[in-house]
Amino acid sequence: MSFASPPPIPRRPLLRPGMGKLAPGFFLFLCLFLAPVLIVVVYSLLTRGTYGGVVWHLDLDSYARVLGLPNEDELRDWDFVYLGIFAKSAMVAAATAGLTLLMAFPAAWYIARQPDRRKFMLLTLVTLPFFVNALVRVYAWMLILRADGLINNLLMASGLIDQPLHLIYTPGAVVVAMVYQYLPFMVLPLFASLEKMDLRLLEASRDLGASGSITFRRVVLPLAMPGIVAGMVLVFVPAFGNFLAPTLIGGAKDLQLGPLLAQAFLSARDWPFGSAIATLLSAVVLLCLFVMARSEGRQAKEAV
Amino acid sequence: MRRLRHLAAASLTAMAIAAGLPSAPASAAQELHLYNWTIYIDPAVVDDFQKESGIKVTLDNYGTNEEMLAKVQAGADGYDIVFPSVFMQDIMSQLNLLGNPGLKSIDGYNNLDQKYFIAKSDPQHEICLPYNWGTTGLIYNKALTKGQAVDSWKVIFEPPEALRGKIAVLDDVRETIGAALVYNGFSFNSTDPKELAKARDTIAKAKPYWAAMLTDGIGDKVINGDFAVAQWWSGSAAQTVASKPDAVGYVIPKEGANGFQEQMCMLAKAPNVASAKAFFSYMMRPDVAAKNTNWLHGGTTNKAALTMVNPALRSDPNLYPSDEVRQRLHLVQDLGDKIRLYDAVWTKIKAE
Amino acid sequence: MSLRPSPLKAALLAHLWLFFLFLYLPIAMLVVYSFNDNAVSMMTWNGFTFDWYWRVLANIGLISPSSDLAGSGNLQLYSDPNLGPAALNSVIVALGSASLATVIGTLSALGLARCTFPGKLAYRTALYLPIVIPDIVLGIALLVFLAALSFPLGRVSVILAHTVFLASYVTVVVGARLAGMNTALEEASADLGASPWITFWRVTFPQLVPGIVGGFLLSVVISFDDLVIAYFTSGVGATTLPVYLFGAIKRNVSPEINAISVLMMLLSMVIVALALWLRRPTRA
Repeated sequence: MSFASPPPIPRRPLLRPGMGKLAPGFFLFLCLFLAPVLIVVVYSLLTRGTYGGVVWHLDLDSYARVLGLPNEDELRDWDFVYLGIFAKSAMVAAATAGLTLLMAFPAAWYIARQPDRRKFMLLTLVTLPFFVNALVRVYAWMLILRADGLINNLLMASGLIDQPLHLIYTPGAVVVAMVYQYLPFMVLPLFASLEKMDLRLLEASRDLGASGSITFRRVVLPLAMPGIVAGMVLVFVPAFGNFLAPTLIGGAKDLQLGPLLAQAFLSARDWPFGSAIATLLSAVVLLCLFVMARSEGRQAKEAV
Repeated sequence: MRRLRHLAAASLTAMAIAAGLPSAPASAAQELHLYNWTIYIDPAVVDDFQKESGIKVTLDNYGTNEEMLAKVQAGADGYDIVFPSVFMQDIMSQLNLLGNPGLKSIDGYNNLDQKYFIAKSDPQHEICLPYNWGTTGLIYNKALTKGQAVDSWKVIFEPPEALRGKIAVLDDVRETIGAALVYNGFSFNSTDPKELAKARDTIAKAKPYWAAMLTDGIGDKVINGDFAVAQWWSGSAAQTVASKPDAVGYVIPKEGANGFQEQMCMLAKAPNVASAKAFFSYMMRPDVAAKNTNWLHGGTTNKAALTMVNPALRSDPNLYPSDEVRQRLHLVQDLGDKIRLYDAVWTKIKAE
Repeated sequence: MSLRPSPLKAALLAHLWLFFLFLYLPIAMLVVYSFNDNAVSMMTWNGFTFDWYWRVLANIGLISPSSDLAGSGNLQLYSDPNLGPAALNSVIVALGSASLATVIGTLSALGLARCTFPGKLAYRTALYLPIVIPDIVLGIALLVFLAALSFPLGRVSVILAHTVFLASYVTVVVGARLAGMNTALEEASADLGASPWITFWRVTFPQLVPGIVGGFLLSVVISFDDLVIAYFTSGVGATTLPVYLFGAIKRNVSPEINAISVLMMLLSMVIVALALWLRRPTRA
């Protein structure tokens, strides 16, 4: 009996009861999200294969290309073309987010001041078109903006113009189609923060003699800020990497990030370069979300 | 522990149901999986083949050669037959992706006309069957181009005042840069950086006058007036012209143009070799080849089928060009690593 | 709580009308013009017809092409054998991935709500990533990954790809339901001696059902909506309806595409209406 093992010490098991439920989700996340994304990051550091795929040899040239550094072997001079594409996509996405905000704010304000039943009904009406297939919604805008589309037909019939306006295949058309696509993303967070707003603060501001515009700037905007930031991020992020609208409505003349990414894989056969773009795009997205989380966190702290 | 196993079993069952459901009824009947360009085969031909052979055909589509290559490389190797362009056949041969269906032993092999494009990797047409050929020229709206000469690449690279803002160019690296190279008098497949720089400048100067760069859906936009002139493929253009002969026309520019040709190839990993061979043999029949060619408004390399091709098609010098014009048609060649020069030029063009 | 009657209020109301006009006009236009009897200039009204719908139904195989309905009018133009399989694929993919995601997502939500472990907040946040990452990045990452594994591309690969981000949606939806649930009942059940297993099935689960069904329906709609991820991960015989439609739209707009669009829209709307009805605020 001298070899008897010491009595077992009760200790907290590493896997606690109930955690088994997390296993399938964790497994899925690990295998089909984390691993693919990490592979993309790894591929972005490798050498391109002539006919697609990669050669396992460290090569930072993909990032050098994105940043515009010159490369003797590739006959490349300083060239900021890819940074330009990032900037242009960011501008289009920012314009989309800004326009969405302008359209959504008054609507969200109005809806937030309705009785509960109407609130629910109006919010439902806002969300419903969002569930219509994204492709179908972009397609609808193609029909509206074409040379023989709805707008040109109406303007011609009314005699305002005698030549169709050039609407489709412009950056403006892409912005309008994306505003349409992402409006609910802006309305919902705005609504959430406007609904919580205490209207007595507004009255107090007015009673103290502040003009309407000052009240708006000094009281309403700061209180609505978390909703505004969340809405801007939720619209900016998908617009930044959008593939559909630039492809179908942008006419592919001005390259944007989404189509550039598809082009790198499906036409240029340059996987490392495409991976580098995807990695940077994801980094920008994470940064935006971080900003949003910080803004919400600060708000929560202030509320306490 | 027991519960965990329950859970694991439940999720595995769900996965198996979801995964097994679609593939279950597959095994019994004979099948054939085609992977072709979007709307690039007469549905009636596929239908007739199914009825005659009892083989069930599935058809998926792709938009570019590279898309097809990426998918096949990535693991979509359950396809039996793909339809690459000639240069892509060369690439796929190099990558050992193609199988040999033994074309020479099929009846009608002698009907192949050797004057058309031949892949470097397949000088005897043993691996792939020429499927359809055509040219990349200009489709134009007759009313909008009235009084303008539409016979040269000049209309898109140095467009007259009246056509500016009403021009569409293909959203395709090789086609667009190739046309600019030819317009400058260089080879369609040039890899000389100086020549490519010249082509880039030509395009950069013309691009502000272009309404869009697209590959598809150009026909109805030329009819409706979105575009007055557009660079497009002859077969698609001819379909459009046939639907509105008074409104639109198609022309091969006098400087020369891209002559393309797609091939019908069996994949090395084709799961249904017998079905694939049956389909090759079917497609080689003159009546079938002619029927498909008429539907595509394209070009056949089958000498026996030619007499059955729609006379309107066959007699149009812009669709069936003379041997003299044919001298000025260039086939896209695989450029290996040099394609990076094109990529650089292309991105530069598109981003400006 | 309402605003004082003022020009501001009138302006807000007017804005709301314009806002909804902007949201619904494109959809309404699509529906109206899908009945336009004009095969050439789709946006020029030329009379009312059901032809495009009959043609779509004939192509899917729901009505026989030789039937009287299908034989009339514009029907002879083009028959498309790809439409039917694409529609079927979309249904299979949507049901398959939504079922998987519902099981996995519900389990995750339960796990997250009922246990504590280090890094829980980080994990909960990470589960949002598959939703917010641009779809094109996820699509490409999955293509590269499946290629590296030599995993065959087909319906299974699309189902798995959709399950990844749908599971996150379900986790969020069911999690929200769990958060709003009263734990007193569960405690009472445990106090009365019921095993955790019994408590779960008899007490927790029935309360969760609307959340689970809602998550499932939402998943079906989102899977049905996805173009980009299916585009990159589909393979042999697995073309889904949006992928098919994307090819068709790039090729040429046509009245038939209008009809398909309207039918897809209708389907999504019905499913969403069902989900909303299940989640409606009930008078407690």
